[in-house]
Amino acid sequence: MESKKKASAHKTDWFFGLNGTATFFVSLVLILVVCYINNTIKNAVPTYFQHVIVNCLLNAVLALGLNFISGYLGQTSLGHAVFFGIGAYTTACLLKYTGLNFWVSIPVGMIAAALAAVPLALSSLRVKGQFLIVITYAFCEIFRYICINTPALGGNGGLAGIQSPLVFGTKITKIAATNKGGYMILLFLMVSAVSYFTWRVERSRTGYAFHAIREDEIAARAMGINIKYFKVLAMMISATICAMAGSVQAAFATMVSPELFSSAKSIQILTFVVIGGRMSIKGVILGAALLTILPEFLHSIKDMFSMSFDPWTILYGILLVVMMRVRPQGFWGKKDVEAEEEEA
Amino acid sequence: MLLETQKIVKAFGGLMANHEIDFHIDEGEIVAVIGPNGSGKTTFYNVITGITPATSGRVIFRGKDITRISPEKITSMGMARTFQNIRLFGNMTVADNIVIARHCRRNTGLFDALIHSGRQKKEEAEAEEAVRKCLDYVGIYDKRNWKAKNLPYGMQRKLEIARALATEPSLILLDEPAAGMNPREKEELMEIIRRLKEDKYTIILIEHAMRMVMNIAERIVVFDHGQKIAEGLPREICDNPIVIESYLGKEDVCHGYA
Ligand SMILES: Nc1ncnc2c1ncn2[C@@H]1O[C@H](COP(=O)(O)OP(=O)(O)O)[C@@H](O)[C@H]1O
Ligand SMILES: [Mg+2]
Repeated sequence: MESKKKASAHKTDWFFGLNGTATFFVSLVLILVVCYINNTIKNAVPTYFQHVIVNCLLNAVLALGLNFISGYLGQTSLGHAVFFGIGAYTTACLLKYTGLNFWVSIPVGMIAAALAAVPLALSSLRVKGQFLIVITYAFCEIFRYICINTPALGGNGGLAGIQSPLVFGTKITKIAATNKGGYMILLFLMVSAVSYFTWRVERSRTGYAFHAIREDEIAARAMGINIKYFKVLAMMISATICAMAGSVQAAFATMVSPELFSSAKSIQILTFVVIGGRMSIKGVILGAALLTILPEFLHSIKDMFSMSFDPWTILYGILLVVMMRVRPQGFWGKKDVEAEEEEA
Repeated sequence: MLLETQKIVKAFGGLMANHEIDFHIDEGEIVAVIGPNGSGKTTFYNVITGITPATSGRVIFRGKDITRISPEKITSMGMARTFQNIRLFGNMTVADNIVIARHCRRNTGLFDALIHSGRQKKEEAEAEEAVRKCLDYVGIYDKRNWKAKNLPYGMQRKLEIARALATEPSLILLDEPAAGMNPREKEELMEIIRRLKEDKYTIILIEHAMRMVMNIAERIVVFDHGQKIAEGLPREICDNPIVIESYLGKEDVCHGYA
């Protein structure tokens, strides 16, 4: 009987059997190596690859954000790009119109997204399934149209010419050997922080409330869980995280446009979570990375063989269908029947 | 009086699922509610626990009017229930089901979770203790790492009881806990309910297994077509011609028990 083994400090299997802290340091070293390798070998890591890495990390933050709604709470949202967009536009507007610091604009964007999350969560309290999908989608569309039709937000063209943020007086594009290095480090720290937060929340009173609501709302209420409160809370957490990614996106791209609110983006975020593995921190991060790298790779095949069509779109569809048939829990999701049962 | 209902009416459209039900239970009592299927027993529980509030009438728990109070508040006031159609958190482990039930006795928030505060650690220790205590109470501690939905049926019913206990109730509402249990499990269940009584829990029991009802109930209330048609000691109920007519049938099911 090994029941004495620490049950409270729950373990999450990270990469190659490493624990969370070790994974953090190994990845940090890897990122720093990528950032500085160009010092010694010119163009060892092409700018293009660095761009892809930045996108992987951005998408990982978004996936971790949606994981609270589509993972723990088990609800499908097709409008999470809205929080990404709100974060990006908040940063863009603050930097352009008020000259406020980028770092201050991040929390402001987070608060703006959290406030926007409240009406969305409240309006979706009583609906489930397809209705929720429609509401979240519509919510995102509303924001897209607001941005298109507000001249101050740049209309269709969006806002361009956003200043690079400063890190202790140095432009973020200058702190590493390449101009993407600073963003890589910043986003890596963001992914780590959000992962740590998620890991802590997963097994907290709040996390258990999310699990209970997903499993059975009536039983959850009978356990004393205020499902309204926790559904709104989950949406606010989710929105806040996605807004962080939006702020960085605005600075990184030096512009924002209504395209940030596209339903394609919302669908993309959802697929990171579903393909990666709902409720698995590692899963959604890897899901985001996989679905960011794979299309880039497949796009290049098109050029390589001068194909007349882009194989990505077709393979993407096939991947989704096969995944849902073969591994509905996602690549890195928890297996349905746990092996632990044998031991008992 | 721990719980009292006054003229509870619950209508679903034109259907009177509960019609003017007066009911009361004292601290430490075990009262059984019997009656044919569809007579409104489960509806009565749903009204008391606040899941589907009454159309009219009043529910008073510990001297407080709870007719319009939300189920989550009622739970934290010390009322717990089990469900006739089992409602466990199926994809969670047996232990996690208990931890979830601790919700109403915990008050840590996101910040405590993030910094893993002293309060958080204390609650985690308490939850672990509750897992051991509540699962031991019904005898399924060795299954704590199983997924709840993979438990055999009888154990799922026991887990429902353990989960109700984890909310630290004073009043427990059991809704057909013996349904689907084999004779041995029924014996064990009866043992559990007796122990609950010894431990000063107040219990309302909806049950069809008359042997169990006659053995452990101190008082019986009979429902039919949404109405309370009889109430009394087990022996009185057995001899009541109205009850025999509507529910117990002609044969002498009570014989030897009351
Ligand atoms: N949510 C509901 N909506 C409509 N009718 C209901 C609902 N719940 C119960 N009923 C009806 O109320 C009556 C009593 O049901 P119930 O309380 O489940 O009976 P019992 O538990 O005694 O078998 C039944 O006719 C049932 O169909
Ligand atoms: Mg019933």
